Amino acid sequence: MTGGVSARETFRWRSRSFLLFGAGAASLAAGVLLARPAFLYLALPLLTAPLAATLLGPQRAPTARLTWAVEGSAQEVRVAGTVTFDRPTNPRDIEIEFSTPPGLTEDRPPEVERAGSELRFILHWSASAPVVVPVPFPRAIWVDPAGLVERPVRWSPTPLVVERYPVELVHIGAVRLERTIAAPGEILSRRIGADGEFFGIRHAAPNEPPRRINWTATARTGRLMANEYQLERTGDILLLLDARPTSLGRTVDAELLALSAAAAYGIAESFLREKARVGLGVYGEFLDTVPLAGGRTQRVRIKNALLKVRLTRSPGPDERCALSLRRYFPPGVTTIVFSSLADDESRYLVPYLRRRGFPVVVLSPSALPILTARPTLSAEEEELVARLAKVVRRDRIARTWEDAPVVDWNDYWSLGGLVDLLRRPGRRGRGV
Amino acid sequence: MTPSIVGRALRPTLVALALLALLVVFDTALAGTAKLLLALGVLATMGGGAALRAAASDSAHETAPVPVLLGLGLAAAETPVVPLAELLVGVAAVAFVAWLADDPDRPPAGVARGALEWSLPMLAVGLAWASSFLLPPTAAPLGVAGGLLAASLIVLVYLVQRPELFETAGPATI
Repeated sequence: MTGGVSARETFRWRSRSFLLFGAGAASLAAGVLLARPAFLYLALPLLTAPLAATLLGPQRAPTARLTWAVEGSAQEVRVAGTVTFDRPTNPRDIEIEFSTPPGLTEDRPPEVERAGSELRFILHWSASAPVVVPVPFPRAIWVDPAGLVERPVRWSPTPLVVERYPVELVHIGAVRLERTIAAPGEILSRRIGADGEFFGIRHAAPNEPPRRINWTATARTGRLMANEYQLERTGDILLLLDARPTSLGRTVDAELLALSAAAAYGIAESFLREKARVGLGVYGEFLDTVPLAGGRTQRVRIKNALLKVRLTRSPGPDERCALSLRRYFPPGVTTIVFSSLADDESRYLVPYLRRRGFPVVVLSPSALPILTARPTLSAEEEELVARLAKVVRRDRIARTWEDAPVVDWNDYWSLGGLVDLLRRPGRRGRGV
Repeated sequence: MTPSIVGRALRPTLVALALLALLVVFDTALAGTAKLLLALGVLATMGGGAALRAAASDSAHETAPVPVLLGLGLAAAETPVVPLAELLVGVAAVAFVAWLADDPDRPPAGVARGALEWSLPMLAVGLAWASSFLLPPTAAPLGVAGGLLAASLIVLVYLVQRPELFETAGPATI
């Protein structure tokens, strides 16, 4: 229910009613002034019809229940829903309006079907790039058949979120992460070396300590094998979104930030599924954080935080971000920084983070696909500008590589580069 | 299936409304040519309303009743003080309300669903016409009484539909 709104407040005359009242009053006046009874007969239905619509319609806002879900995969987004009305509301008297959320485009007009006491609908949208966005609630109003009066339907639909991100992120949770802090209730062994329950044997990494090598298994297989423990299988990861404006302009910045939020959500979900602990930081003027935690509740926390991410108007300094991060997160936690690297200012954030002890990997969504999709110059000039922009971006990425590994995210529907980089031994950025 | 433009414009209620309006025009005391011009004018307004309703634009759709109302007003302006002609004007106005309910952009059967919306004005027109012409002049107060009775019935229906109006708030303490 839309709590606090009385049923009387929801009643509204439509513009057509005012037209009829006005025409009826004018006709009545003409009939009296010109002494022509025909005008009075004309006025009578015009004045009584809106009153009849008010009297004979529902006396309070109709109530309904909405069951809906997001369907489809990859770029195709389908929202199917069923609205069930309480008697005596007739679904044919209901007008329902849908709005397309930002980041999605409408492929076809909505399909609406009315049967019995139900109204069913299917919305056909498509996502041109990864997106995490809430679906706006449909607006349903009861309108009398002549379109004279209306009452909004009162309901409390469950929030629905469209989540679309590159498919490779489903498997990114299998990447092994460093553990930085003990889990609640966990007592770390005082002995040197790995602790916890033995889980299995795996191929040894090049930098594997000798204590962890399983020499018997190595002799049997002919290559270096290492023991793996339960605790090693989970780790901590921090996702840091740079929400400061750049020289690209607010529109492009907002699109890139939405892309970053979608990717961050996909990464977080995958790691949380693997029981890892995930933290989130959004840096605009100040740092907003979701501290490290695991489980389903953390998934909801991160999703809610990502849905609120907006570009800031007053960018904060790089050092403030690094300092603030140390207040909330332990050093050593693997950090993925989402930054467009569109100007030098955003590039300087990485060395500050490294100095504060965060091994950083930069995931940089490129603005070039967005900019080339909106040409403003001739074809030749556009090509030249695109080549120059590519050179500048390569240079900036190369400079950032001096401080941390960078994934250039050009194809928005693929993040295989990031998964490969994180799987690589000794890949989690350079430590302090 | 979405109806065609002709189907959207040419509704059964519009045909009924145009016929009634033409009957009103032919009951006027105008000379032959003037009557024909008036009939053409009224038909043109009806056609304008239908065209606006068939248009894709929402604002055009909303303004569709305006020319139709103008046409009815034109016809009513020339109607003589004759019982049948006046009844026809009233019935044409009721047909106009039914035409509003017969909207091609909304789910079908609007006229049937909105039956109460146009039958109540029809009742009002019928009562007013009967009290004016069917009753003898000396029994005019009877017509007024009939009107009051109809109004009372409407109020009664309204109150029966809203029983909560008779409810009183319970005491704050036991």
